[in-house]
Amino acid sequence: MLESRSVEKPAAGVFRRKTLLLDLLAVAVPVVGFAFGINIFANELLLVYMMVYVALAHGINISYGFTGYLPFGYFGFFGAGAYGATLAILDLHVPALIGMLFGGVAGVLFGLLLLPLFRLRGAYFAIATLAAGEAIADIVANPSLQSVTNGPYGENLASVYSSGQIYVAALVFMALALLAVVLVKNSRFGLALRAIKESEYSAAMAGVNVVRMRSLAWVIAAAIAGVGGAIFGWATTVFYPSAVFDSAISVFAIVFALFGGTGSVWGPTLGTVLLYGLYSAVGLSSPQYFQLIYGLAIVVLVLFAPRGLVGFGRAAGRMISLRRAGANG
Amino acid sequence: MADEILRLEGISKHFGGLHALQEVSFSVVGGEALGLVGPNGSGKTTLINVVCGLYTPNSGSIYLEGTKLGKMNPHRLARAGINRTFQVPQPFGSLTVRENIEIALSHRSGEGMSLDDILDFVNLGKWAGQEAGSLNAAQQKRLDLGRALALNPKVLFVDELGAGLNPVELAEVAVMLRSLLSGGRALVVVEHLMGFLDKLVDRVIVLNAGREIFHGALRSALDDDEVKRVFLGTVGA
Repeated sequence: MLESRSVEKPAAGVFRRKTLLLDLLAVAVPVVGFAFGINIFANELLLVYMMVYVALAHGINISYGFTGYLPFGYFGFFGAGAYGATLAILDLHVPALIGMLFGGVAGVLFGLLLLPLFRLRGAYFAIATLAAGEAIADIVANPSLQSVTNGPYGENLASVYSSGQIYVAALVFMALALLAVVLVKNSRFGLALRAIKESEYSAAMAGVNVVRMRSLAWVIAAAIAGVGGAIFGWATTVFYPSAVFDSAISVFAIVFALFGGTGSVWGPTLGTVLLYGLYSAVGLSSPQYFQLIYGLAIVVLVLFAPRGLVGFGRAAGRMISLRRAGANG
Repeated sequence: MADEILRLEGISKHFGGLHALQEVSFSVVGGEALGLVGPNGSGKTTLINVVCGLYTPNSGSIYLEGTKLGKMNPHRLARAGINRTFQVPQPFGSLTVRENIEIALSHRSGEGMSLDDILDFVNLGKWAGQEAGSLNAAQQKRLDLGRALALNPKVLFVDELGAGLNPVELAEVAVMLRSLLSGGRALVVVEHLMGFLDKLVDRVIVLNAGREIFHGALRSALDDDEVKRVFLGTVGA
């Protein structure tokens, strides 16, 4: 009898222990690494930036890796977060740590403003977000807004600078961003996002509320970028609109995520640590070769590892399971 | 008399100057399998796309169990009890077979088949942990069917499930689909294979160029001059 069985709660909503353990390890390893790394490598600002980029790459992971929407204008959320936090700290006189949350709120508000862009698909969506990011950059840098944003002359957070607080804030922020990805990946929500990435209409016919799910993913990604921008601004202390509304921020986050491999918790972290490490090493020691080496790394990625570093692991896993299936007849 | 599950009244759909559907009307009752046939481009899949929310009709009304459906998102229609399979299967390729069905199960509010029942029914239990993209086309079609069944649809549109199957497999699929009629479910089966339809449906609607040109028993359709002209290009030769 096939009909009238009671609903079994599907395992999709339940954390699968094996992958969950691996995913939690992907949170613990970088958190412990950065927590103690400061004792080995003393360039604190570089580590803060690296943690911010790890989180940003995971924001891209949620928006693109799980849901399939590539936001070239991701820097718009980042800059909105930097300015949102700065205005809260300087004008509302909130503590700097609380100001970081205002950065997240600014990112989310900008994200909500861009929700209508989901009417677009693929490259059109990516380019539209890029235009939106450039637009907000121009608005913030406009001299007529000098009384609010200080226009093109930038902001100065030297009065609230605290290297210890900034480092801890960056570490906690990165840990929360990683945990958010673990939650997304191992939940019904994450399953729905992956289905949306494959086919929005088929996902809808499976009962998925596509608009709500992708909007939620978008807001999470925007919040991550907003807080990331806030911490970046705090750590940088004096910054100009061109520093936080820089399309290179989007490019870096996207390349880091793709290099490591999207749709996973390990991938974007690996990609960021390796590529940002390379960027920092080459950029400091031999800046004239930086673009050449970076370009070569991207070409190698596209040619030999289109699914990123974790793609190798996945391919190996698939081969093993196929061999097992074959052995079992 | 069984209860009416789905009723379409005067459904029309235009794409610019192309009239893909023109004033199509029919109803289907619980426990009934209705055949939807017609040559390529006649509007069969467009009709499914309209009923299942992918396209908004230019005119006409759709009723589910007597309630008029306004403009609804596809996920609301799916949860309300209208679902479909796809002519070109559309599994979530990077997800496992099990996850493909679990997604739909997680959005079902009432009772229905369990995950294991569905996997057994569509004969994919052995592949449950495998990525759906690695299945062959026939398996992917059965997975589409399983995913639709997970939401326990009141009316299910089956779009060319038999294409590419051998006669033995076709007979098995016909039996499988007939078993879905129990419990008051209605099926609308799009198919080119008349022998397959003969085993499955009670009556057929024949579409041509978006218009309904015949409505009645399958055997009568095969003797209808206009149906013969549409399919064969000649009458009484």
